[in-house]
Amino acid sequence: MTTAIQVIVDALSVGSLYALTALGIGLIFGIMRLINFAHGEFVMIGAYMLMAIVAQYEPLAIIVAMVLVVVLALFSERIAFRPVRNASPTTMLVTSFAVSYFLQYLFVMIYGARPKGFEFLAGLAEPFVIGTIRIPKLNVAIVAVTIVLLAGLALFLTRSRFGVQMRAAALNFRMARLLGVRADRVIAVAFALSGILAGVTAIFITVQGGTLSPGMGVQLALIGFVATIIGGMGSLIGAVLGGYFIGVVTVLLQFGLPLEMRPYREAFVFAAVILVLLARPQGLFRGAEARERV
Amino acid sequence: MTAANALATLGTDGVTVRFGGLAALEDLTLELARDEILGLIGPNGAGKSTLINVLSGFQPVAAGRVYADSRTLTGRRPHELSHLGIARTFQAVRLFAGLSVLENVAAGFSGRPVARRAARTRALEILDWIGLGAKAQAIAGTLPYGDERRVGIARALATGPAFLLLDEPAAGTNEEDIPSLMSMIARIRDEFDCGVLVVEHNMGLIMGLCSRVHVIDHGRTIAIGSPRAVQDDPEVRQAYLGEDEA
Repeated sequence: MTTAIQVIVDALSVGSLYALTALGIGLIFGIMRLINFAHGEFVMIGAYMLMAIVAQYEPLAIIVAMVLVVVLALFSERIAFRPVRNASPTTMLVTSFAVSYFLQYLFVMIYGARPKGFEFLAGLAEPFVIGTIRIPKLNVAIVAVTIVLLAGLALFLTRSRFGVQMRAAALNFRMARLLGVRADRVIAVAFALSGILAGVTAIFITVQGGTLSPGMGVQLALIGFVATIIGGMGSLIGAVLGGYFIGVVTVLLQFGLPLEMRPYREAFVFAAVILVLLARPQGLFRGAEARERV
Repeated sequence: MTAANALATLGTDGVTVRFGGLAALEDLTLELARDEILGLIGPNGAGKSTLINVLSGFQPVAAGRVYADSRTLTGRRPHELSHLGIARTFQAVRLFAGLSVLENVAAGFSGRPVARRAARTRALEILDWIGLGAKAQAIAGTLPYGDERRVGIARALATGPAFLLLDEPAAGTNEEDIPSLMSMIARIRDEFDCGVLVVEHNMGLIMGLCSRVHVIDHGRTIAIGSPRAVQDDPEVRQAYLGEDEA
């Protein structure tokens, strides 16, 4: 019982981080059919910004890092992605790899390639103790913040003028433009939102991992991308559920695999992904109209 | 929307469109007035949809001019023309399938300075007017075909057009529902103060609704006139021989 609860909370918190990442990638993919692998670097840079500013004051570090990541997301859209907006999906994909590598090696240049230890919000590492159950406060915080973010995003997408425009643009970009939706603006809003999601992910990854390295975002972006595929590209709910799916599988493997096989956990995770895609090539929760835009 | 409200005519002047070596439209001149319902008919492949695409900016022209009053619109992009007050529907309706009917119509206000609540209210009014108020909350992808087309028209009306181009509005509509569709289109001109161009294969609808009919075949104009005059035109009869009843 005790273990079961701990595994569930673990799975939910790992799944939350993946879901936030998948959502950040899925938001942009939905609107412009761009798979933004640089999302991982948004997270990485957010983490380094926390470290750069933390000396002063932690809440301030969080705010400044979030703002910087959003600015970075908007800036990369303006500089790198807008010029290839109407190019083929392949060109956009290659552009996102270029942005991703550029940012990684920019940070290798500034901070060096070696991982840096960095303790942030150490209080969150302490557990809640309820009887025999010990649940890290961090995991509870991750799940709670994710729920708030998802609810906020859902409200934004359904209740705001921009949200409805974004959903319309994701379903049929050209038709949305025809009706007066401003392409530059909805795409910028999508990047800003994905920047916010990356910033929050950065905070939690930093607290959880305690080490930063320029390559730390690569694996995360890959998992986020895979989660959007499992969810069915083009469906935001699918991206979230895909993230939780991978999180749950990862934690169950961590818990269930024999000790000597745990280092190979990711191989089993991706094997599970392959099995899912063999069974449902369209993804588990494909959006109503995920076809490529024409 | 003052610009849109001021426009009185929309037309093409000697427009030619080629697909490869093939002329889809050849030196075609058509004019739509703000206060009329103009029927555009012709056999399959005559170039009707191409002409709608030209008027709405989806199809570049090889020669000729698109205009509204004295303004040249040739080469303008679809969303620019939409903003100027030229709205259209599509044969393949293209609703936002995952959005509600109300959200689809409200999205039509995206380019207009209308607050969200006001857009919703006015979208609901248009839906009521068009007879689909009861289905405002339905997901657009679940609608029957005929209703889909009406929502497509409602969404186009939400952009506040001076000219509305309807591409086969009766396709998929039961014969017994045609009269109500006809009276709806007739009221669009009067109540939304916009000129209507109708491309349609349903001759009953064209003849009963339009004040003027423009007939094209092989990308050229073969007749323009009242429904009766056009029906009696020998060249029109010739063009339709063996094709009309298909």
